Formats: sequence, C-alpha cells, structure tokens
Amino acid sequence: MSLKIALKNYFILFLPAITIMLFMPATSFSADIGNCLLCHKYPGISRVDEEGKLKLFYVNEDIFNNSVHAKVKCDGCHTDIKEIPHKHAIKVDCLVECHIIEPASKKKFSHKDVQTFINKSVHGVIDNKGKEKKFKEDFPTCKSCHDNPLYRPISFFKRVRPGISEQSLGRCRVCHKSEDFIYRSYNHVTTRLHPLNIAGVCAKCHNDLALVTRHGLSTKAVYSYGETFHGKAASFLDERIPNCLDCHVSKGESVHQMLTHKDPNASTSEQNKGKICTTIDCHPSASPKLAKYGVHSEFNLTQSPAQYFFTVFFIVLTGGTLLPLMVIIFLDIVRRFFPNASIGGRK
Amino acid sequence: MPGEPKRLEHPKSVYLIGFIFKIITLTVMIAVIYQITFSPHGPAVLVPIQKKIAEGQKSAILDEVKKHEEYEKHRHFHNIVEYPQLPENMRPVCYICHSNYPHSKNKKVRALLNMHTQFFVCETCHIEPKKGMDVIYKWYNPYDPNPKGPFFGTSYDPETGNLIEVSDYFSKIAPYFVKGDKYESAIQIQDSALAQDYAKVKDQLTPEQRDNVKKKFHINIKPKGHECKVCHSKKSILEFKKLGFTPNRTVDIQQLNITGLVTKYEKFYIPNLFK
Repeated sequence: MSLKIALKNYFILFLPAITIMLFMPATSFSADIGNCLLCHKYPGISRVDEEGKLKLFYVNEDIFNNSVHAKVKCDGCHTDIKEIPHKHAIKVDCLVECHIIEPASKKKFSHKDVQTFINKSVHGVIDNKGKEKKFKEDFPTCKSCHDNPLYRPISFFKRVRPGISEQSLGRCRVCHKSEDFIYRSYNHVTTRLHPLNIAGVCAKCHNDLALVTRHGLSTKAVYSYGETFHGKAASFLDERIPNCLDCHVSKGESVHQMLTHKDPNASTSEQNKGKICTTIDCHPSASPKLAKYGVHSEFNLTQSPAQYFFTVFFIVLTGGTLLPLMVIIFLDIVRRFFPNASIGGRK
Repeated sequence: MPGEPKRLEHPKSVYLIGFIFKIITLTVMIAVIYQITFSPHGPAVLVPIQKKIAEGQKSAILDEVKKHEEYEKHRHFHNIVEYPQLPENMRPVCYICHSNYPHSKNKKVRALLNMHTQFFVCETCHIEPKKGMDVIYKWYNPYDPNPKGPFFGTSYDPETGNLIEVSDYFSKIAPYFVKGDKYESAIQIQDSALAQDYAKVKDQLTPEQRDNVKKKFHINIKPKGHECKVCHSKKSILEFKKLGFTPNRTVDIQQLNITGLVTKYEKFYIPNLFK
C-alpha cells in the first residue's frame, strides 16, 4: 500500500472521530478523565487497615457532580496518583493549583490566598512574633471546617426562597451561552450565600472543654451562643440570624481572616465592638452599647454572676409558684375521685 | 349553706378548661424539674450522679470506634451515603465474626474484593461445592422470599450512565444447592438454630471450643474465593441474563477492565491524553 493510500485510509477512519471530538459539548468531559470511577463508583470499596482503621473510597458520582468541586478532575486534588492499581493516596493539599482556570484572572485556580488569610488570623499557627504557637495540632486545617459542599441554590429575585430563580437565569443567558457555565456559576455563587450550620462547624473545637482549657479561652463559645436568643433561633435553622462569622469577621473581609479581640483591627476589639449590632442588616437604630451585653455568658457563678442569679431567681420563682399549685390540683383531683376518703377519721 | 353538699354538677367546658390547664401546668412543672436537675442551663443537681453512672458504662474502645467513624467520613471528603443495614439477626452467620470489609491480606486488591460484599453474599465466592450437587445462583433477600428487582448493579441510568438507583437495598446474589426440583439455600443466617445457640453460649466457651464451633459454620466454605475470571468472563458461573442484568451491563461485567488491570499489569499508567 502506498503512503498516499495509507494516509487516505487513516483520514477516512479518523475523520468522523475528530469531527465528533471537535463538536462534542464541553460538558461531555467529566471530572473523571482518569476513569477513577471504574473502581470508585462501587459502594463498599473500602478496607480496614493494619491499625484497625476503616478507610472509605467510594465516590457517588451523582452527588459529586452536584458539589462545588464537580469541575475539578480527580487528579486535580489527588496529584500523586499516576497508575492503577495505586498505592495509598497521600493527603490532599488543598493549596495545590488544580486544573480549573479562574475566569477573572485566567490563571490556574488555587486556594493559596486562603492560607495567607489564615496565617494572619487567630487560627494561624504562627504568632505575630513569628514563633510557632503552643498546641499547633489543635489549630484548624481546611477540612476541619469544610466538607465538599453540595450546591444549595437560593433564589433572590424579588423574594428570597430556596432554589433557582429562572428570572435571574434569563438575565444570565443574555450574555452567557453555555448552559453548563450558567448553571454552575449560579449555583456556585448562591450556594455560598447560605450560612448553613456555621456554629456547628465552630463547635467542633470551641465546645471542646479540653481544647478551650488548653488555650485559656474564657468560654465554650458555641454553647454560650446557644444560650442567647440568636443561638436559640439559629438552632431552628433560621438563616437570617447572626452566626459566629457575622460578629467575628469585619464586613467585607474574608471569613478566614478572623482576628483576636486584642487586635485593634478585629471586629470584636473594644473600639469596633459597638458597630457589630448596629449594621444596616441587624439593628441599625440601636445604641453601640448593645454590643456590650454578655453574648458568651455561661451559667457560671464565677464567669457571669448576674446572669447566674437571675436564672436561679426565675427557676425558684417558677418552681415556687407551680409546685404549690400542682399540690392543690392533685388534692382537688383526689377529692373528686374519692369524695368520701378520709385520713385518721378526718374528711 | 353549711352542711349542704357542694355543687358537683359543673358544666363540661369547666372540666375541659381544667384539663388543659393541668396539662400546661404539668408540662411547665416537668420543665422546671429538668432545669433544676439535668439541664446545662441550671444548677444540674443530679448531673454528678448521671456522670458517675455513665463513667461506669464507658468503653474506651466504643468511644474510639465512633470517633474514628466520624473522622473517616470527614477525611474521605466525598459525601458518604448511608445505606440501610440489615438487623444483626437477619445477616448471614459470617457477620458474627466478619464485617462488610473482610479482605485484608492482598493489599493490591483488598478494597476491590471488599466492594463485592455489596453485590453478593460471602458464599457466592467462597462456596465449597458438594459432590453430586449442582449450584445455581439467585437473588436472595431476607425480607422477600421471591425478590423481583430491579437490583442494584444490573443496569445503567440511560441519562447519566451511572448505575441505576434502586429501592431494593438488601438483595444479593446467593448460591443454592439443587436438590431435584428444589433449591436449598447454601447460606446460613443468624437466626438459624446453630447460630442462635452459638450466640447464647459463646461467652461460656473456651477459645478452643469456640474454634471448634466456628468450623461448623465453615463446612461449605473454602478459604480462597473464586478467581476473577470465574465470574468476569463469558463463561461466567453467574447467568447474568437470568439474574436480570441488561445486555450492556453484562458485557461490562464479563469484560471488566478492572480484572485486566489487576491480572495483566503490575502497574497501569494513566495516559495524559486529555490533561
């Protein structure tokens, strides 16, 4: 066969394939280019290691595709896996540059900036003198606070409700032509507006008595937040209620840059504290003094004696009123059921 | 007038109002008692006693296991789906000692082998054939003697290409011995007489006696399971069509690439074509 004929044959054979690839929509390329789900799609793909610890490896594709990391390919995070079957994967470094291109800068995306914020914050492991803090293993890493969040869109067109606003999407479609891009961008932005269970995340450390004591913190912060009106409303999943981040992060700053109250730039510092409650979204007409109430008071005689005595007073008042009342009601019931009952000959 | 009987014929509405009032009072009273005794928002006068009792029942192993389970779900990061589990007494006897993840020796394939426990019972792979007796494989569901499916793993969702979600979480492929026209189940479940008796007396047995009894559970069991190709080939011992597998799923299982990767290659390097 001459070279010319061979080339012609190759061209005929590969032309349809090349045409299909060129016109294939971008969405057809899933995150699973390495075909990792060949094995990992099966529930039960897990093992117990030599130390008796269970290791899970199952990935539910439907759920993953509905998560904020859906567009990241498996090897975008698991950079060490080059062959199949592979060895135990090393711990994922969340700061790695993944294969996503950040649309504004057109650069490869990375969470590196978050680490910069964390380093400056009260949760960074290095103090302002450049020394390593004590008990550095207690300080949070990315996965201490974050799981792989699922899209949870919110419609904010004229009224706020869960779900996608078709009216908003209509406006996106004017300029953006890719449905996949519109869907993901909408979900990405609006999902992040949900303050889902923030207090629960902070509680993992800030309600741990041993950790609180080790670091000399004055209160089990989430427990004492739960004692307040805000905490009780939040426990009923009212998302308009302020959570930890609303008070402990200055407006407009990254939530990762949470400063100690001793830092003059912190939202909770003495000079800024008054502004927390009086923001336009909370109590705009309130006095700055409102922020001085004991938001993290525990039922503790040493830490907050005023609240302690008030609580005791109300318990005694309620019990003292109701207990005699219950006795009278009980005696009344007895008399009605046993009108002729007598004790020691007395009716 | 003194001495006259008191009025007892109250209108019914009075009794109704009285009843509602009593319920409210009782509720508040219970709340007050809780506030004083156990609530963390009160003096918690009975909490030291409660702690003392809890301390006596505390198990370091149980605490660690639960803590690790939570940790692992978080470490894994890929949103775990909790599937319903069978109650202990309805599981096969294997579960008295083994878990859903029983394979640990062969590091290369242990997780892959463990994955199979979601699709069939241990005996499907580890059965010791009886002389002169054929074995057939059927779906087995402890809640339903004649499960109809659709079964997990038998077909793909045409829209997503993923395995189709099903409502039957308990059916697994299991072996049956053929006795004339009848099929005899080759698996024992934990409410069988032997298993129940063992559960009752196992703490009274010496380690040697326990080993002897365990052998009874392993009579029809061979330690090494089938090779991959016994099922993953065109000559599979499983009749995929009869078991309800769709043709494309059957082809994928018979020609499963994983089997090739495990048996043919020491390492299979992922191509960089699409990166």
